[in-house]
Amino acid sequence: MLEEDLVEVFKKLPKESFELLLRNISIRDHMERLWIRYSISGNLKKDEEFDRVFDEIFRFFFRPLEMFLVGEQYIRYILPSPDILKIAEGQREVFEAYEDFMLSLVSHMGLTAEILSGFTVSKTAKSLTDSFVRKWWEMAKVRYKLELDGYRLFNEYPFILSKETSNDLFEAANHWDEFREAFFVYRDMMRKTYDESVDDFIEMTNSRKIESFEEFMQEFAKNVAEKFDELIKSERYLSVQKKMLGSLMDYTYHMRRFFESILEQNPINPFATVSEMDEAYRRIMDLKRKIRSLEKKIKELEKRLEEGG
Amino acid sequence: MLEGLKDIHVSPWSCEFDVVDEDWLFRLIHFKSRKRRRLKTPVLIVYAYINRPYILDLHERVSVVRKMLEAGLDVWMIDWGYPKRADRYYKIEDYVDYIDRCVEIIKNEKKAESVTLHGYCLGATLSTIYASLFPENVRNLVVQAPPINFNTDNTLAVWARYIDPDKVARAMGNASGDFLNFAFLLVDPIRLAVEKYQALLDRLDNEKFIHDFLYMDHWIFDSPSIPGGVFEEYISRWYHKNEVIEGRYRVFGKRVDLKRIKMPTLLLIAEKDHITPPDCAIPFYEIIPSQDKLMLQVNKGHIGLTVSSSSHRELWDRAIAWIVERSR
Repeated sequence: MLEEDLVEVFKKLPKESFELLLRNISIRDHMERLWIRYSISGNLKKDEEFDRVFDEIFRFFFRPLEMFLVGEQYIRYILPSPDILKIAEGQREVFEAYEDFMLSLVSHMGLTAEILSGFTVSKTAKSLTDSFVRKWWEMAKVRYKLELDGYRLFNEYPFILSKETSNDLFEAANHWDEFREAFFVYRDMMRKTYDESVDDFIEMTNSRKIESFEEFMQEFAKNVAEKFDELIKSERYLSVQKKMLGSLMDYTYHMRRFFESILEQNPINPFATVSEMDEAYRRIMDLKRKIRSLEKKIKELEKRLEEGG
Repeated sequence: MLEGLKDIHVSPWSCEFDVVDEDWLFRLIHFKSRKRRRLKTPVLIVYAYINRPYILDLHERVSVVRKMLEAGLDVWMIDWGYPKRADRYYKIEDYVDYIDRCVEIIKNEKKAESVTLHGYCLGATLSTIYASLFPENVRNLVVQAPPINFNTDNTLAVWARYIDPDKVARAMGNASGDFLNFAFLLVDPIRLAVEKYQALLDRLDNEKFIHDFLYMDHWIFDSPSIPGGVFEEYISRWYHKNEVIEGRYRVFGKRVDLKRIKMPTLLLIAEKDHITPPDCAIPFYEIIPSQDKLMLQVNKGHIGLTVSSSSHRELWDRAIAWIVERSR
């Protein structure tokens, strides 16, 4: 199929259907390879083709959860962790070196300009230019110095944040650990169940002759599906899934609140946070219900008046 | 190999309609009919707030709406829309209230005393709640794959009992469509993410199969979010506490009493339904005091009940005849 045709198919299908379709083409490809080996030798062995099939099926389900794991790494760089503080300290040294360099450069340029300006501009103009450059530079130094001092603030983070903000950060960290732990247990549980179903499938295919690829494929899917039917209703699965989802939701909430409260406490911040908007939505919804209730009462009154009551 | 897929243009809603009312998120639509004769009692279809209502009018060949129109019924439908963050504080009560508003609009416009309320899936739960609160407005109640008893052992129900809905709503605002799709696929990962697509690969030369497959997949993944407030309430009060069937559910301060379902009631169920298995509905059917009740079932799944050709042959003709008889 031409690439442009594939783009056309992508445009037509929901993105989930398109992805699942491509993954299933790949699954079929791996299964066909297994089938060829089986039909030649009459024997099936556990090999990497089964691993690839697992990957094709479960990437679709693991990916949204892994996105959280990756996303958390990006968020971590925003926070004042020891690593980040080290980077900040390193930056401070670079800025100081750069400041020395700039000062030398400005002195050099100043001296060069002084020599040259003696030939090109009047004394008055030269004096004004010198004065402007000096003032500008003093002002820049003050500003520059202030920013350098800003790096120290990183070390004082616990004293800058409000108690509530810090607590949200601690809560988020705790829930994050719970989520990570549960996710890895969950992933291993899926993998183990799949491996067991593959073992059963291999045992079955090696104990009786399968006549066609269609039957081979159906038996494989049936074996895996039945194993997963058992798994997803097991007490262990349910408690891991509950812990994973609950901790992910708690992490998401507290992390958002952490960032929001930093913004909410900063008078320079020009943006409303999601929680502030939510509060507005809640009040609007309450008002809507009150209006609807009043409308109903008016209608009832009108009806009663019409009926002469 | 996939060339056939790009030639099919998916365009659901096969019947024309007018939008009669809009209320921020919700809207009421009225289907246009070519038939002159209209029966006395209009039908109001209330679909679930998960997925989209056009499953009942997916395409011409399997449109329940079209069949109803052809039988001379006057068909209306509520569309619950695509909730955004701003809608996170909607409650189930607001949905029931909108049904009431729609019933009033239809009654006024058609000079009818009451309507046939046809609920599907969670829309059937809403319809049942409405019918028990305002029985005078419901001439006939049709409930299709209704979850009324939530204490069942299908995987979705078991999972729902292991969810903290308040945590989901607090973190995400709404239960997003992606989140719901993920859960619906993970309930049966091999059959839904592998076997189904392998079947498609086997039949890429079958135009009708491809057509139906793409329409279905388009619908499956066209998933609106559920407002956070609704998600919290329906998981905790319906799945965790099973309040509706046990007569403890309250709306507008009034108790939902299923003993008030005395109007003619038609129950449509699918034997292979893994979302709302027959166990969700049969206790309801047994509990209601209606003297004119009928249960029709097909050997299909939750959606096959609506879109399979065999359901149209075996069930829908009878179901619509039942409604027509009681709409004169």
